[in-house]
Parts: sequence; C-alpha cells; structure tokens
Amino acid sequence: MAGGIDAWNGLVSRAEVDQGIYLVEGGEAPEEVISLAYGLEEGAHRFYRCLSGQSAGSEARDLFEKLAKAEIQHKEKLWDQYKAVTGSPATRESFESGIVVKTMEGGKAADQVLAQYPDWIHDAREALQLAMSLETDALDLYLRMAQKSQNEETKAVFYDLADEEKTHLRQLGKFLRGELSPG
Amino acid sequence: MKFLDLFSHVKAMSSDEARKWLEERPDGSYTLLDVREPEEYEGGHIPGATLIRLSELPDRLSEIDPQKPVLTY
Repeated sequence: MAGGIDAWNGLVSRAEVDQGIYLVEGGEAPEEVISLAYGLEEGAHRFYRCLSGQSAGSEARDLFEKLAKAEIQHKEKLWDQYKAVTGSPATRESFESGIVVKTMEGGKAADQVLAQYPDWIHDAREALQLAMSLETDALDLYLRMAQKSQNEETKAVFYDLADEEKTHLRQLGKFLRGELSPG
Repeated sequence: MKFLDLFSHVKAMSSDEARKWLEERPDGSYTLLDVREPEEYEGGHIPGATLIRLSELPDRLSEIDPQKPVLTY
C-alpha cells in the first residue's frame, strides 16, 4: 500500500503486539473460544456501565448505557452459538458459572483503560471516540486470534465475532457523523 | 519460498484501493502484513495486521501462507 499507514484513512487499532492474544494458544475448540468471547463481552458490558455511571454529560451517559446493552445482545448471540456448537443441554447459569471475566474485548483490563482517561467523558463525541477505539481493538483482537487458531471451526467463530464488531463500528460511525441519535 | 519470491507479483495500490481490496475479500482469505517496528505497530495499525519486522522477514517467510495474497504496508 503506497504511503504506508500514514496514507490509511480507515480504522486504526493501537493495540499492543501481544495485547489479549495471550488469551488463546491456538488449539482451542469452538466452544472454548465462545466462552472466552462471552467473558470479553461481559467485561465490555461492565466497563460501559461503569462509564455510564461516571460520565458528566447526559448524552455520554445515555450512549454508554446503549453500548452496554449492545454487549448484552452480543452475549445472547454467543450463548446461542454455544448451544448450537455443543448441542449441550447445559443451562445458561452453568455456562456463565464457567466464564472468567479477566479483560474486556480488545484484551485490555477495564482499569487499564480507565487509567488512560483520568478526566471523565463529558460529551457524546468523546464517548463515541472512546467506544470506537475500544471496538476497533476488539476487531483487531478477534482477527488476530483467528489467525492464531489452528481449528477451522474456531477460526470461523472468531471471524463471525469480527463481523459483529464491524457492524457495531459502522453503527458507531453513524452516531459520530450525526446520522443516528444515540438516544 | 525465497525472500524475493514474496515480491515477484507486487502491485502498489493507493490507500483507497487497499481499503476496497480488503472490503471485497472475506477475512482470512489474505494476509495483511505490517513490516514496521513494534512501537510503530502499536502506534497504529490496520486491524488484523500481522507484524513481521522487515529485517526479520527473510527468516519468517514460513509464517506467511504462500497460497494467499499478501497486502503489505
């Protein structure tokens, strides 16, 4: 690509080389990575709820609340995928009891991200920019996890998750351009 | 695969062309390669890009699938 990254006008991730990628070794079965992703989405949900509670402006609060709800929808889809892949009669409670929430999607711990933003978000634009940054890192992580995976079904799960993040990012982009109202 | 084989069918494209090229292809059907240094990569990279420093490329060619097209920056 002529001009390198400086010429690029698309999404840019600032994730570190090893950020989050340590969470997979490459040999995981599809249901294992679905459980992993569920934990990541739950981490993001909690993070957005935290930001909603701390934001100084009502627009930012409402937006973060909406983003938190979107993560719930992602979890619902992952639960459906888990049932389809395993054919297991496991209950939602037993599935969730095995979930470990270490980080958010994107591979960073919530307190790590919050430390980079010591002043609370004041308006919707700042909130959207933060959210887009986090979701772009999530896209980056899922794509790189797919590359690391040696199981074709597991790769497919990661690419599906990446597509979900792209959809989420397109919607956030519309909010940022004022094409959609966050409320 | 030899190092120079990696560049035997090189076409330079603009960032708009690259963006379109990526959007037209399913994830996993190509390799997106970043050949910069780690600190440059962490300063901003295209999501999903694999980092292999240019100086290490000859020794790490086996990590690149020769059956898939490669987009490099």
